[in-house]
Amino acid sequence: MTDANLNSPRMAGRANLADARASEFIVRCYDRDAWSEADQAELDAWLAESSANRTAFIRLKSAWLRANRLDALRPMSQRSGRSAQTPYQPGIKLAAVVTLLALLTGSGWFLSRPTIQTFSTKVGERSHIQLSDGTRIELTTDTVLRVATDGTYRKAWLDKGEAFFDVVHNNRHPFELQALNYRIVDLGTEFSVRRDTGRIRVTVLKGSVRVGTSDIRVRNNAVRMIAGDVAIADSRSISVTRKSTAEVADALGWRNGVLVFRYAPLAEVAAEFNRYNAIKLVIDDRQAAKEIISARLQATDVAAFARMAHDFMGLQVRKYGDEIHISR
Amino acid sequence: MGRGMADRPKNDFDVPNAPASGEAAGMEELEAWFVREVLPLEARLIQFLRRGGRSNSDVEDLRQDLYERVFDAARDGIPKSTRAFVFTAARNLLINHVKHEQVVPFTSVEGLEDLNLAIDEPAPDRVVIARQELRRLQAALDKLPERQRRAIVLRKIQGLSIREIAERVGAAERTVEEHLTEGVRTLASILYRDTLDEEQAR
Repeated sequence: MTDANLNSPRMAGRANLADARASEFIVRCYDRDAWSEADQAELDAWLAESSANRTAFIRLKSAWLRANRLDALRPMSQRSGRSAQTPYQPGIKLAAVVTLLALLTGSGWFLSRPTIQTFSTKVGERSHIQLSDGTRIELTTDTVLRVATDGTYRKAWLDKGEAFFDVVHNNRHPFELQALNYRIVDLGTEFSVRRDTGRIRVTVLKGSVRVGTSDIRVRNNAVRMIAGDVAIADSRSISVTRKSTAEVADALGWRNGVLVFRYAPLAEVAAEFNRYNAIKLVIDDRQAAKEIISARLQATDVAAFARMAHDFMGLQVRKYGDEIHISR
Repeated sequence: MGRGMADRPKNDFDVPNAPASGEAAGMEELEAWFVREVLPLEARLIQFLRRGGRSNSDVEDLRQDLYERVFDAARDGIPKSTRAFVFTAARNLLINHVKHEQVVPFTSVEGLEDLNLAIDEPAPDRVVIARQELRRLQAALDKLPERQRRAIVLRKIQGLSIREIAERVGAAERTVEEHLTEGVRTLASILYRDTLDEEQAR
């Protein structure tokens, strides 16, 4: 795509109509000032009309949400109590906009921001990170975490996988983690966040955290969690459940390289192992997938799992290349 | 892990990995798949659909038809190889389209044999994508027309609402909204299509 195309007027055509409508919905529905229940109903009806509408909406929404990462570039001082408190001063504000645009168009404006470091683990790896403020972070298998710090600013993004945070609390500069469309803010705490497709899970071991989102379409869009709480949040809602100390410890077993299952279906166990291992477990039939098991196993010991499936569950286990197939 | 406690009532915590039964859960899964696996193919797809000198408008309509078909087909089960699935659907769509065009440009079906190339390419490393994302967004922003960029910057970086942006730049809210809607469309085109330029530059 050339610049000429970008600036040319929009073409006639079906795709253009769907894109035009989808972009209107997106711009309005992510703007608090301009979205009502009636708008939501209108959007739902439009989406239900055709998959053409739906894919147009998904495509533009994904671009819009990707642009949320630009928020990493917002200066800290402007995060709270922004414009509302400032009297309207057109001259000054315009100057500010011009300066900002000058910064943006100059090359390297990204580099002048707080340094963002990326930490990642491969399948089967674990890793420990210590930040300069003393905060400790543990990454499990197949995880990507970005961290931005500049002394006053502490923010991290969990792009995939799962990480455990032991945060050195600072009232003036809370530690903030972004995952999906949620912000998890520490209130003095040890907690773990796991990100799966379209969903996050937050487990609090000590202290408390606040989980919130600026996405107005999420029901109960801010919750405070304390030790023992586990929250599951997807793009639409957050639900919090209380767990026993033992259950929380089990859920965090990965910190010691252990996976703990209690009455879990085999399909789920296999999926969990597959996060940690290059050799993948494939459950070949539905009946076997539903078998319920309880076990405590080394995350990287696929062989132990295969033995258990064969010896204790009486299942057939066959290895083909990098896959272990399990069936009845 | 460790879910599905026998002594607890079933709730949405206990069965998060259950196969999607309701419409809503299935839709979210489909949407996630579409964003993760289909949209990144857009650059190649557009290049492919452009063969034969079709107008931009035709190309966009074909893209939309294709997305609709691919999405509907995936409702019955998400394909194992999205890449092969999407490009096979594209080929079929194009053959069908060529049949219905009054005048068939000589070059229309050329390039169909390139499909295998497109299918065999390795998927880009996700970690690399994560690292490049901010830089890519920066580059995309730089390419936006001035007014669209200003609106997107104020909305996304300054976090202002449409009303606040309108006040700040001294424009009508409706106008700001237009800059934003155009902006998000342009951004999508850049983000999903310019990747090809990067690949080719390497």
